[in-house]
Amino acid sequence: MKPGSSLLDTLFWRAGGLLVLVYALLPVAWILSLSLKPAADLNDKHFVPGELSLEHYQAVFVDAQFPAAVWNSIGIAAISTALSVLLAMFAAYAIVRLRFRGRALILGAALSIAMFPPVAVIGPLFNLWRTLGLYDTWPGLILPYMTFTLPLAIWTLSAFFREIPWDLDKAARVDGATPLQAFRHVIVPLAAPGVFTAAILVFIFAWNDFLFAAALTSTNDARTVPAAIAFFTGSSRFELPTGSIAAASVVVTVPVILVVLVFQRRIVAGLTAGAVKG
Amino acid sequence: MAEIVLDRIEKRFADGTQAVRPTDLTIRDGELFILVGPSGCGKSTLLKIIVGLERPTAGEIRVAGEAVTGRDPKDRNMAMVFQSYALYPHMTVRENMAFPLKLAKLNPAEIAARVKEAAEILELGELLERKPAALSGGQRQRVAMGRAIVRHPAAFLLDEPLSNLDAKLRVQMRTELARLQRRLGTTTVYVTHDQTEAMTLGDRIAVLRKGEIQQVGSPRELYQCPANIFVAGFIGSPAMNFVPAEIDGDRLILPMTEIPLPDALRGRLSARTREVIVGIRPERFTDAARSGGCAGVFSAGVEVVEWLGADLYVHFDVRAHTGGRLGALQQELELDAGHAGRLRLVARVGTDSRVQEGGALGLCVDPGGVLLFDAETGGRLDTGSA
Repeated sequence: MKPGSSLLDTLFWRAGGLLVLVYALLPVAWILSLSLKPAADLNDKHFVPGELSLEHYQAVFVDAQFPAAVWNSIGIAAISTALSVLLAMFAAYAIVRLRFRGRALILGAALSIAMFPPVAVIGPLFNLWRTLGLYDTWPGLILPYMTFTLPLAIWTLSAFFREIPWDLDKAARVDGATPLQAFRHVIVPLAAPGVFTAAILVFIFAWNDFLFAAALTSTNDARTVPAAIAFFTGSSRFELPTGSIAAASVVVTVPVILVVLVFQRRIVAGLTAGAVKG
Repeated sequence: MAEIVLDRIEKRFADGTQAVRPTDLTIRDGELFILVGPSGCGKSTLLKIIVGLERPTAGEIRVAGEAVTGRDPKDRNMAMVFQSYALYPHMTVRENMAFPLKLAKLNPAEIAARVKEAAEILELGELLERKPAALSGGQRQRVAMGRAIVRHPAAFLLDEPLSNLDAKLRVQMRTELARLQRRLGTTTVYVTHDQTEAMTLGDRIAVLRKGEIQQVGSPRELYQCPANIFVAGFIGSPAMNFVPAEIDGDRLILPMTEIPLPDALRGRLSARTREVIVGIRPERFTDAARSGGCAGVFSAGVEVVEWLGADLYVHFDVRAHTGGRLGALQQELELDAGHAGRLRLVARVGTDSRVQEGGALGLCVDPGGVLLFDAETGGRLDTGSA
């Protein structure tokens, strides 16, 4: 390749990347700007706030429903993530390592669950949950979140498990490990990037979900942030709660960014390098 | 320290392939026992059965007199070195070696002492804090060995441990392994497809083919008295020459010459045995010009001459029928069988022979040094020493 064309290449990719980044982050920046404007300036058609104010942030936290919703969101998303990833780890390991009838069927069925439109189950689920007493409770949201994220987690993890040389399981077994010890001490640490990837995906799904949260909750007992934001009211009925919504959105985005940043550092490529051969 | 006994061990996979045919084998306490054979002969399967990673379809395994057939690998106190080394990449060398001891719930002081001892034996002292990714092939190999010896196991099982190393390092590690095994005196089963490795390392060797043991013996026994044409062709480098021959009274008619039938053989062959396969090791040919009055002198058209310093190998062609059992065998052993109607033979002659490529060389055959095999079954016909 000529040096000139490679320079052009670099420029092209840099500019392209920048364009995508601006396109994706512009709405986020806008929301940030709205959240920092005083109520009176909300419609001033300026991108950069003329005057910074934290009044919307104060407003959302003064209202009792928002802190409750944040707590619900954190709890429900964390539990869904932990359970979903744990189950997916066992399922994926079994699918990759064990030869049993219906392996392909399980993977296929898992995928078909992921293709199922969630909105189609909302109605029946609403009735079912009311009968079972799960309506407006944490488990009532955790269960559907696990159902819809498990397929993705299983697929992600089985791809990672498949990369781990089988000799390592065998070596651990010969070294005196039970199957569970081999799994815990050798396989899981090596599949850590996959575990964290799956965890991020599940967490984001559970954290951002609006559909289930709006339909299956009714009070502060289990209502999560995306649903709670929809129930924000302005100070009078003639006022839209734009500033509060913006401030709340910024607040709920922060944990997701933190989670991604923390987990991302764990996703080190090439962790299995040096296990086998040269 | 233990004797390993395989009693009528058999392995059939779910798809019906018979990986190991009923096998009896005794590996003596403290010996370095080699399982050797071409790929797919069942040697690795046999090793996995011994360590417990595979269950035999039938038969029993006893270690030090105790039946362990159904026992989990973790309870067999055997250490295995894998062809891929199978080091745990997320652990340092020290953690790798300590792992089996931690699982055995030894106290930390004991673990540290054992790891230190193994590291000293294997000269791994300076590498203890490194991760496997930062090690060279030979170092990884030593760590894998280290992880095996820290446990003071009943037996070492090595599955082609040297095949991922380059040629020079392989020879060096081979010697180190042999020395280590003698020093520790632990029963060792070593699987390889390389007959040179088998011959140089082993106290005793079992040659396997298609899941069946062909012969068990010391390297010398296998080389001098192979039980059949397969062992004869597999053991030795360059490989033994095979030519079809006919017995006519007390004479053996080879494609290129005829020699008197060795005295020891005359009485033993049944009268109807006429067609045989004759095996001649390259060193059983001699340069006719250098040795006076030898039998079966013939002139060989020299194709290629290989001069290795101490030895001189002469490759030449002989016109002969090449089909049937002989052709099948040569294919299986991946020998250079030559083309239709011609057999390619190798002779080792003294380096003082004046031989040129494309020239002719008078060779004779040592009648006492030929081996006779049944043309149909491939079994040995004579049982005298070669």
